[in-house]
Amino acid sequence: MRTGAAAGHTGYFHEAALYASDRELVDIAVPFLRDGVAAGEPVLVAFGEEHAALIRRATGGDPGITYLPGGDMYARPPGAIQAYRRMLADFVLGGAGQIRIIGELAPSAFGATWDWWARYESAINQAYDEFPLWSMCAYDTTSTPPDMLADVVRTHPRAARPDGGHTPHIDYVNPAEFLTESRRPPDDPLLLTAPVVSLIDPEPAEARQAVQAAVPPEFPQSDVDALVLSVSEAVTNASLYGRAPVRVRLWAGAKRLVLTVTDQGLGPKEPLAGMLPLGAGDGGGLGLWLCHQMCSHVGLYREDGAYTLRLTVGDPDTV
Amino acid sequence: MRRSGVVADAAEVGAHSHVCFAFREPAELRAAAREFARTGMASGERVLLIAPPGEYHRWRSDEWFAEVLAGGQADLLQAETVYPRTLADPYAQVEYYSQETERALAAGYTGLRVAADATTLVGDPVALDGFARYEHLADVYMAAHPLSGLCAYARDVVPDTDLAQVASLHPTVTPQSSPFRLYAVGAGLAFAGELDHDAVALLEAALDRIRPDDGELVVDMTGLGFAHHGAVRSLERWAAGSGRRVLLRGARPLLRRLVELMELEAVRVEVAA
Repeated sequence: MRTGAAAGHTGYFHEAALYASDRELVDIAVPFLRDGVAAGEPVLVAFGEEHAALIRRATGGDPGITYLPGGDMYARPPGAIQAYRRMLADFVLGGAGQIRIIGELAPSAFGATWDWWARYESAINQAYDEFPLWSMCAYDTTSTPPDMLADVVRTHPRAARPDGGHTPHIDYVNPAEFLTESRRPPDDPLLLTAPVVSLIDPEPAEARQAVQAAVPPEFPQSDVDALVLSVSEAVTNASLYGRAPVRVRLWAGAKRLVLTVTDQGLGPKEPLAGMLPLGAGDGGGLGLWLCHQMCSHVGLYREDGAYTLRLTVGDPDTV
Repeated sequence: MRRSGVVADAAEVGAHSHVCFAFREPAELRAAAREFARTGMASGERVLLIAPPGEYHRWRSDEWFAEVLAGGQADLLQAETVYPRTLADPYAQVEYYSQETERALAAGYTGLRVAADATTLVGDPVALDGFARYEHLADVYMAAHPLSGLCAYARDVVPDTDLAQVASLHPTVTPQSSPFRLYAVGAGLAFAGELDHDAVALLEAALDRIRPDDGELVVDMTGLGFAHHGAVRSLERWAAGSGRRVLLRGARPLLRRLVELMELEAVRVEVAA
């Protein structure tokens, strides 16, 4: 049975918790959590240390609240989706009528990788919709840039307010629409330098060899592996589902490697491709998902009649 | 560990024990057969040569062949005397070579070495399927016994896709024959080459033709450069479908990561030390 604002709702009740102070965050979070505990629901907090401590204090260390360790949970969007889906399935199997979660993205999400976290926020409207989940994603309106807040409003059907109210977001768009928009990641100064690899219509093996030969030795093998797999998947997908010519380029910076694969097609048809491990005959979805699982950032966008996949390993942010 | 690789020309075939030799000119095959025979003769093996149709007399009149044939350690046979028209029973053909190997040993040779043109044995889909199964069974036998083979296929007769199906079941092949090889080592198998997406159908054909013992199948992966997730998925499907488990041993860390992400049940990975 659903309780609180989500009573009578089927599936995922997805809210943004937009706050301008610790006080506002507490005013939104505490009643939400306490009511869940009182109703005997699984109640979880997925905050960084500072906000987790704030909520612990404000709830008097209520033992009915579970604190999820941050870290890897929010390292990559598809990893977060996979971990949450598994956890939610377990709660439902255990008989939960509703699960409450309040969480926040890691500070690193609010930089060069925002676009894939925006896609995450949109994708979960569908990816969690089979669960009786009520979740709040907390965003600080004083520090989150306006363009990111605009994405938050477009990916959360409603907002939870500090006064206890719930406001529908009239600007909300469903994942099928949001995820098919072209979302070019921020310009990376590294891409203004000369690429170390530039290939037209390579076979996957040829692209792998070129990438392996060009990666500077200071990068760890795990980064090289991530690129080797990603370039293979991207080139294979481009040749199977895209349109020639397929252009592969690699840039090597001090802290990161950036690879782009551009073809003249439209990109994946399935809006959630990359965020969920789709099955066989998925139009390249599993390959794209593997890229998302191995790289530190994946951007995808359509521009001038071409589809580009931009894959980063290493540190996406430091210039 | 068995020798495995891609041999560019006839000079290299001698060091290998089961070679799929795809040729364009009959002279290429004669050169390869000579080289293959020479290695065997030098190590005291009995040698059987099976020439392509129409080539029997040319082989016979080849100076080097003529000399070794006269010596008695080597024999030149017609394909029809060794192979039935289609290989209805792959096991029987392996049994034939197993008996010939035993006979060679009994006669004091160190083993048996066969260089045979098999072009006419893969003519239609049924024949191809039977012969591919035979190639694998023979490979398993060779991995454990002193039999070695050079299996020759004429490129202008055997379509590339058919050639790939038989080539992929040899430890050693000529270039542009098959992107990967699946062959016998010890009690298990080994992969070599690369398993890209466009090799998935070929991989499935190869898996369909192997008949490993029951229990966990150990596959040596040290010679495999890359596996696309589609190939890994085929392996998982084959294992699950045949009710067995597969251990990929000596794999690269990337393959372990891939298998972990795909959450496979029948396939597990051990990374090379």
